[in-house]
Amino acid sequence: MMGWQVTSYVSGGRYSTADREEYAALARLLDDAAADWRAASTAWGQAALELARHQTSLTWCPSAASGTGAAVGHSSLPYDTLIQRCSDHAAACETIGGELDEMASLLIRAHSLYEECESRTRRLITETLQMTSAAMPKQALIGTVGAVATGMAVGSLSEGEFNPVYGLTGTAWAQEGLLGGLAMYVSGIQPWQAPLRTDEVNVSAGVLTNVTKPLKDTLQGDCLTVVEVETDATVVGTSTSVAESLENLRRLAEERLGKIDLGSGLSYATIAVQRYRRDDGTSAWLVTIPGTDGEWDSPFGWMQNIELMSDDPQQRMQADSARMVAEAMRQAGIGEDEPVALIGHSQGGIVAATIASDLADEYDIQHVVTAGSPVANHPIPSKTWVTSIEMDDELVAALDGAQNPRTDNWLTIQGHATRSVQTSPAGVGADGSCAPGDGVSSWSKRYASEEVTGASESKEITHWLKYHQAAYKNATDLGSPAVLTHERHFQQVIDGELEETHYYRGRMGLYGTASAPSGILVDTDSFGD
Amino acid sequence: MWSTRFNGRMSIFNQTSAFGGTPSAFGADHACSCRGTAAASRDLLCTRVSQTQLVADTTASSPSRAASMPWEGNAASLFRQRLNDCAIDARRVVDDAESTLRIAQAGA
Repeated sequence: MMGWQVTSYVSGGRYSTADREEYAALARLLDDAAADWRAASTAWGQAALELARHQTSLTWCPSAASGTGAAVGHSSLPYDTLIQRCSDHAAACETIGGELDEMASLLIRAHSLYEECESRTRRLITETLQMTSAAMPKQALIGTVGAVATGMAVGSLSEGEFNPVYGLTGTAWAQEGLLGGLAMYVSGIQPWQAPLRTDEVNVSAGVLTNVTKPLKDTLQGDCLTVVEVETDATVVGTSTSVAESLENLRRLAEERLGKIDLGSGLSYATIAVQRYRRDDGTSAWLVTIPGTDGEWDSPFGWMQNIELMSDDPQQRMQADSARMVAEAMRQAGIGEDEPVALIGHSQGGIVAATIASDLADEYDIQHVVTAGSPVANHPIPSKTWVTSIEMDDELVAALDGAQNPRTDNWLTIQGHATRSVQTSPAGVGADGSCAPGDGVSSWSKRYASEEVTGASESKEITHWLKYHQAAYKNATDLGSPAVLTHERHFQQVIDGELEETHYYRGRMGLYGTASAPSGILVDTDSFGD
Repeated sequence: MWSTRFNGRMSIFNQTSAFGGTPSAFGADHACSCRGTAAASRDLLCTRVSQTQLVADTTASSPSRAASMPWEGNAASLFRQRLNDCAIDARRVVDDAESTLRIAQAGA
């Protein structure tokens, strides 16, 4: 049975320059050694051929003809044996060369040794595409349709049935540039301005919000009610790491949509706020925010995404989902000096980035984890550490039209999904019998990738959280110092005993008393200073 | 003396025949040249063994460099183990190549 696996690439974060130079030197050494072993393989192969020629040239020599050794006055060698051995040496050298190549790649990937160069190249492609598509929108549209169609055709052929998701995979490299170009077209930014900025999508989101916000308010209402809901079931449990928090986020996201049944009764537009008691008696907080649910009276609807993406902080914080989370944080009693970590998927990640950007003066937000969220242009202050996990072909993460900043406080893990053989874990059956798994450990797979748990057999949208979880697992397995440093920081923020878990549910309405009236939580006059 | 590279990326193995062309069984004087051919074969193998030894020496130095690095975690352990394995494999290839040369030298 086939499944999917994710290979991760890391950019940004904190590195020691000296260590990095040492890693780069070793990577070069391994690359050179691999090339030498490949050359050795070729040379031994040539030696085998040359010995064969020597053997042929001795056809008439009595020593060679007798096959029993040298005749008097003649000389020969056991050429068949020597030729076979030379071929064996060639194969052994090739294997060592391949092994060293793989190890150099592992070292390079674990320490992001070429990220600067890759980032520059990617920026160049994005800006070029952006300007081209803004200047020639018709041609860009035709090109995009062609690329999508080609991606779908090639992917569907490889899978044996039509699958439109491959259209995303085929355009992964161009998504940011094309979206940036579309945004320039919408917002009226001139092509010559493009290389000087990266926020075209956010500017156009601001323009669009002027239209979509009144429309949404008319249809859905602007009256947001946030209430605490209780459950006996453990949906968001205790966490000591990013990986555990991601798993809790997935559980809450799937439980509220009915994809899994943990018996909690929690429904859509529900978030979790947890209080951890530290050893010194102070409190730390973790806010878990799932993504868009698209329900009619939900603050986590589709249109709120546009508002959250605006370059205008006032518009961002007027988004119902941001208002809801801010209200939940207020109701939970988070103090302004108490450390807070936020983790969100998709729209939940954009909300987290928005709150970190726009409520930086009200809360001590120390770490934000986003999964599949387009937040490259959110002005998150440098005091807040950001861990962004994105898939290269999920489209949603590319909606910002730009790469995430490559700074000390901002780490990005980008995953790339490929087909794999799906395995099953070992387990114990209902009757107590043991079912052996057929899983291949990450060690055996040489940390080249991490299997996606529960992935479908055919290609699916990689925006699902299970893909981000696999990407994070592969990145942490690599032992990248940047990833480990960010992971440690996250752990330190929520280091303590879990004391409370509160769930808050938001609902939109046309009428009624709003528990989170728009504008009340935010001092909008301070924006734009 | 062999160098590891020519022009930056050329390898020590960028050679044609070690002795310049395929020998004929019969020399100009129409005598059997099998002794010359056998010697050429031995020379060829001797050269290849020396070259392989040089590459193996380079590979053998890499585990110690990796050991001193601060890289931690599962992948780092795997990396170091595989690098050690590579150095062992490289040594084994050299040993095998030397055995091949000995077979040639012991040949009739």
